[in-house]
Amino acid sequence: MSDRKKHPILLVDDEPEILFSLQGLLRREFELYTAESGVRALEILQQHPIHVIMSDQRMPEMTGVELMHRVKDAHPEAIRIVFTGYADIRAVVDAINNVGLYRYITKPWDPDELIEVLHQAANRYEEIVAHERLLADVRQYVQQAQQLAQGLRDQPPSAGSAPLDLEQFTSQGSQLLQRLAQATSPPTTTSAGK
Amino acid sequence: MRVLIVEDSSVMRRLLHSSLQKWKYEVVEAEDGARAWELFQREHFPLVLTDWLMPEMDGLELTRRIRACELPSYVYIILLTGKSEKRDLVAAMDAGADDFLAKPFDPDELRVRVREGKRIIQLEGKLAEQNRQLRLTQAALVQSEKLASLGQLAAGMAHEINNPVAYVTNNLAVLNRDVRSVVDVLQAYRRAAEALAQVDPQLAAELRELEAANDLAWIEENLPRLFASSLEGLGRVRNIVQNLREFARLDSAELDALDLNAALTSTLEVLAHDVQDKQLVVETRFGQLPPVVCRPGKIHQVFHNLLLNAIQASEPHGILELRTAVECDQALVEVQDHGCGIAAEHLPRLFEPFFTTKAVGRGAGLGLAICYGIVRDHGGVIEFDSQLGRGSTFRVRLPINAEPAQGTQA
Repeated sequence: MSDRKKHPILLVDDEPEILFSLQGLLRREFELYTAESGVRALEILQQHPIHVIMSDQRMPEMTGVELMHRVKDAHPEAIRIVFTGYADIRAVVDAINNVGLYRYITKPWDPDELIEVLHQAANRYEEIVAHERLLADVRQYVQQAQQLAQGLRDQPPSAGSAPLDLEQFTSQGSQLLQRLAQATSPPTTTSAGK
Repeated sequence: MRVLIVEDSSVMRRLLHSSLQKWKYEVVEAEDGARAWELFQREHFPLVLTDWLMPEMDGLELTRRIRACELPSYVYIILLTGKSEKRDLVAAMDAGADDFLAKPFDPDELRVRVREGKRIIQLEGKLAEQNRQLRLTQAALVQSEKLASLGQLAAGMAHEINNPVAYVTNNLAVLNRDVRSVVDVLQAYRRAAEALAQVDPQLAAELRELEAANDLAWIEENLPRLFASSLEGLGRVRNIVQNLREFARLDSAELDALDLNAALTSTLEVLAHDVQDKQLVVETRFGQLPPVVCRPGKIHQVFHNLLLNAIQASEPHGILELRTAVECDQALVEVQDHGCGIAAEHLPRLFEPFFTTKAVGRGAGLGLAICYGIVRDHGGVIEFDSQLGRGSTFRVRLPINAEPAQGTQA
């Protein structure tokens, strides 16, 4: 219905029925990718921009927490969620601090709650990306300012072009200041959820 | 101690009787073997003093008969005899006699021989009691082993069931939403029915027939209920899995100091509705208890399960008794009802998971299993007394100064 761009989400579980079931639940609201192993998940992350990755904890070869370790290194911007049966909760809770999990979700999950959590995660992704962009812009602006100051010192201004450049530059600066003022507290990726 | 004297000579009988009475034995007389056997079958005599030669049934035959019986405790038999041939004595011992007393008897000898018999019987009794205790301990051990392995089984099951329950629950949510979409589309199509009837009356008629054949109206009306009922059933499965996990203690909780009296009171408040429904009278006798370091949520759960059981077992207007006390460094909590009680054959299985006497669907049989697991993990014990038709008492003992496994003291 809505034309709003759907967030790409990667689901990882070694049980195909779980993946199929989640696809049914989430296909309307998200752009979905699925992987039946950690290795496959990492391949998909190479090929597509993924905003949120949600993985089962208990899988052969690579556990969810292990996968998230690798994701944190290779794709730190992706929001990481682990879902798990009760028996593994201890491992997952411990991993929250080390791997910077956004949330963990227990199996069986509540369908409505899951959709809500994924939306929140996608929003968190947006916030982080916006924050990164702002930081990049500020960084770039400061660099330009340094260059400008350097230029002024090396070569005193001639009457022609400088005022025009400066005017544009200062308005760019006030825009940045405005964006900085609007930015809420910096989003973190280490929230434990709930 | 009761002694049976079997002797056909009345003089001899009287002599024996008066001697034994002097030494505080309780004496019953029989004039021959047949009479003695009759008496013996009716009541128990730990010690029998019998003449050998008697009309009808002699002492040897009486001895054989007594030995042939399956008796709960040992009977010490002394043969009174004039015989002293080695062959005769061997025959008597073969028949099962324990000792002899030569006739005519010497009172002192009688005294020491009977005393010896008494000693043997007392030893026998002590041994039997120790044996019984041992068997009880062994039974308890087997029971707790059994429960432990059931716990492991439960944990494994809980884990295996989790995944399918997870996606079936999810699928149901998806189905619910998608079927609703299909119904929406269907209703939109229906609005085109009139237009269709004009363009293609035959197709329109076919569609109407198809709808009727499949009872589409019923389907549309009952779909929501179908989903609701399936969700409710799945919820129950989830609950059972949750309870199994609790029995197998897959969840840990924080340690804290708990006032058990307050915990009982608040649990009673939670159950006030059930108490009122049956108009039960709750009598509480709370002793002075120090705070007990435990996992409060778990202990609350134990109280809740025990109280709920007691309420359910009670007749309307019945009395429910709650008592607490300190006993040997343990906090004691007693929940007593005067309800239906528990049948003896059910008692050994009371703490087994899934053991229930309630109708299918009324209780999964996990309540007491969970209580058992929790109390055990706290280093305590849970015991019960029950009599069919007279009620049950459950007793929980929790160590006051214990350090429950892992965690810090509050």
